[in-house]
Amino acid sequence: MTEPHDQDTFERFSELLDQEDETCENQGVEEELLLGLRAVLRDRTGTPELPSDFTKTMTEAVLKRHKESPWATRFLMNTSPFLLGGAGRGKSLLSALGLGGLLALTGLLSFDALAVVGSVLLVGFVSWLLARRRQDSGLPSMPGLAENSPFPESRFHQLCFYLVPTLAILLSGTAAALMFQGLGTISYTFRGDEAGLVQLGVFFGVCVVLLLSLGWKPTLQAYRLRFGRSFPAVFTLNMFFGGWFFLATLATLGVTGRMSVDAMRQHSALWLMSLVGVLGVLSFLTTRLSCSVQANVSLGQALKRSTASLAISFLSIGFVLNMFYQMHLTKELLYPKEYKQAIDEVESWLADQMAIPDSKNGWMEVKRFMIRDDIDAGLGDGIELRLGALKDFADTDLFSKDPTTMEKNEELLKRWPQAKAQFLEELPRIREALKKPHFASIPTEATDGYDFATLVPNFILFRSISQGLALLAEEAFLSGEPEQAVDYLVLGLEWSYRANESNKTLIGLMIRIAQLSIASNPIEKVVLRGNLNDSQLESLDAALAAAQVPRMALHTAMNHEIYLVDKWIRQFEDREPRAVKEVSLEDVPAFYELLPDSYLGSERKAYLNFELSRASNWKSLGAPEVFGEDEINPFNLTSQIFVPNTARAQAQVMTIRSRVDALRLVIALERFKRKQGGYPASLQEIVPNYLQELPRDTASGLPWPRKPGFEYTSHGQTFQLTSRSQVYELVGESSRQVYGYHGDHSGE
Amino acid sequence: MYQAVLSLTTDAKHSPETVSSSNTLEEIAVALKTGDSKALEALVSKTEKACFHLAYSLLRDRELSRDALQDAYLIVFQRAGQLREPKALKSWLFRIVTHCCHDIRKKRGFELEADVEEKEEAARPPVGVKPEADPARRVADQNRLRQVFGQLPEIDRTALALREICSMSYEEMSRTLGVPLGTVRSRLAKARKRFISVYKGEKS
Repeated sequence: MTEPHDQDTFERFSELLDQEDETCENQGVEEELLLGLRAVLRDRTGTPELPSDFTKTMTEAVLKRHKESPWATRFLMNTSPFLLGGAGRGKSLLSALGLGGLLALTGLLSFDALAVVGSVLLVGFVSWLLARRRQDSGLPSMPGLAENSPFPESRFHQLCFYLVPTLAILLSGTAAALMFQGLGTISYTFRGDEAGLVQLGVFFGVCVVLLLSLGWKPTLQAYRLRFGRSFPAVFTLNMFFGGWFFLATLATLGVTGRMSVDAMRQHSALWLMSLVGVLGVLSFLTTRLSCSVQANVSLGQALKRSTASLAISFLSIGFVLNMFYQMHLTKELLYPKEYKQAIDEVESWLADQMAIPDSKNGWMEVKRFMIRDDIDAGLGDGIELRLGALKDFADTDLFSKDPTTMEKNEELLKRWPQAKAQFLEELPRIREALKKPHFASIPTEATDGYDFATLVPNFILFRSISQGLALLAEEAFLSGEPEQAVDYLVLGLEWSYRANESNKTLIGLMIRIAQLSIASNPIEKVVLRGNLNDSQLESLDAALAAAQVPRMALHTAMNHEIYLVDKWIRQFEDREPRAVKEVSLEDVPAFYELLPDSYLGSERKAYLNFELSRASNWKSLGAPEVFGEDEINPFNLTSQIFVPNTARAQAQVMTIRSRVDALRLVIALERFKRKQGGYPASLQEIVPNYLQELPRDTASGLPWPRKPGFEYTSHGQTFQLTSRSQVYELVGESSRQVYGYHGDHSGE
Repeated sequence: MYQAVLSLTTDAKHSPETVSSSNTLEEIAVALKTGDSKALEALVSKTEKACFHLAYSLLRDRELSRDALQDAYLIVFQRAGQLREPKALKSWLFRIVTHCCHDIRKKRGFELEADVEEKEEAARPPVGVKPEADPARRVADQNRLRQVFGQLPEIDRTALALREICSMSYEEMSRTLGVPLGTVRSRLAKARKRFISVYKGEKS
């Protein structure tokens, strides 16, 4: 036989041996050796005969040993993941329990510490299990990794099999956590497109799930090869993975929340790209490295899966980039001048307010009037007012046409005579107060707008005065005293805007609108049926013009609101003691303490962008951009809770402005009729003698330059003025508001 | 609940249809997955000779071979649920036997010696080996061959054992080892080459 020099030659020679080729015989010493070995190994003559009862005794012995083994070992050996095989034995189990206890204790002490310790222990625990696996435990060591497929495997492959999936889970948790943060950041940037945000959220959720599934599937398959498909085995396996994922996510949330806060703000898209890419590569590695220990997963399949994983990653990256550039950068970056101007304006106003010394017992210097339902002497030198029974009228709409409210009002009005008597006694004080230059009735801290406990009750008391004045006007009109009615109406209109004039927050504006709405309710009736003279009509018109909500009021209020919310969120984000007592920490669910700072940063930025963009639009008082409750992205939890319903506020401003303009038109038309004997055929005829210019219908959803005028039809002795807009529905009214005769506010 | 799960998965049970040695290995494997003790008996009855021969070839000790078989059957019984393909039972069992033998050798930590019976039997010339003039020399050669075989790494011993003792084809070995056919060929060749070099080294 030729000396086999190389491997190929020897392989051919070996094959000939296995084919039992005759040419192999008598070839040489080495051939003889191998044939000798074959003969020795095949020779059964040397093997002792088995006793006749071997089967029985062997079976009994095996069953005995099986029954004698500890139940935990039996359970874990057959049903649990291989990793836990070692943990199920004696000290290992205790160690695992101790480890869990340590993690729990750390978590109680500090969440961040839990994150760090958890991550370290996670890797340590896996290494410990790996080392433990090889130790003898009384039973023979396990026959390789997968009994029915792979053999032999290098230690490198074994390491990959256990460590790579664990790292994959850990990194997947990190990726999920960072994506969560990135989503918050992105939701800020794209705040203008709420529907797109929901889609974006769903898209990312699906991406994460798909990526994780693709990355883990081969690993899970490999494990299943080892542990069978019995329900307890798969259940335990899934619980095991679920547990790791949960722990890893918790840990990484804490760690990455600290690490990436600044980077995420500035490079959210870049971060997401990297993360998704890393996850894709990780999926590939996991698949590739673990496929060698699987029977059914080939390299081709691994490549296919990883390609799919990467494709999804790139799709998501493309989607994010597309959104990013389509929606532009943040409004803060896009309109830096406007942003700075708005913030400067509010800061200047707030500085003025805060400069008032505390020596005034915490009340503002501008206070000249003080409303309290239970006067506490010594709070200051303002004008005090006892509301008494009138305060019960504060929180209802006395002019509502809703049957339930009307029923409630009937009961309430039974107490009106008593309240009226007390109110009439206080009326001179209200007249006196209105002569003062400023009003305020709220503590300094509350001027920032969020101490609802003290702020809202005061506003409600303001409203009760409007109710009282409107009721007095209604009564005077019904009892044939139009002059008295006009006096109360003018007083009510003045009260509506002057009571809050030093408060420029959104809630201040809203209460002003509420008061104006109450004060203006009886006006149409009094004008059309009260036989008012021209000067009375003129004074009413002047009062309406003064009470009208300015076009920029909402814009200004929102700038204040933005500033204050920004300030609050920043303070909360910095975890510093807050100077402004808008919202106490008790109001914030404990859940927010667990959120990474970057999430709150994202909330803050989202709010700024969203509201600033709206405030810009409010200059033209276009239709609210978003209707309904879904205006706040569900991912921005904090904003969702604390940000006011600004779409409704916008609708309220638009409708009240429209109503005041319509009432002024009604007054002008009535004055025209008094002079000309009938209503004009066209609204143009009242300009400029009865009205300086014709108003646009602010309630219209169109932007300011394109807003139409009111619809007007005249029949000589009657007329109809109509305002049509879907915006009315946002404030619970019909989309068609009619003034004049035969309308909802008919003078008939 | 734990106990209930345990009883479902690990306690020995009897399936409604009794399995015996007349059943095929696949049928026995299916029954074993349910924890049927009769299936275990059938498996032992059907495979004991081949397994014992394999173990004895590797250990050259009757009692130790018994122990290895007991360990192997226990593992098969306890982990039958993990066996995905019933067809693979035979190759899986052989592989476990090989591993158990290896564990026993490792635990013992010393070279195994052929027992007395084997020494007596070894006096007869094995098939395929040129008869030596001196019977004592012939026995010594056979022992040396076994000794060198025992010194090979596990990977080599397993490959040679599956081929020469269990008479497995390349395809069967490929399934058992979970490696491609080409790898089986090269692994056998390497094992033989190493056997030769170790033998020669020992001689020198």
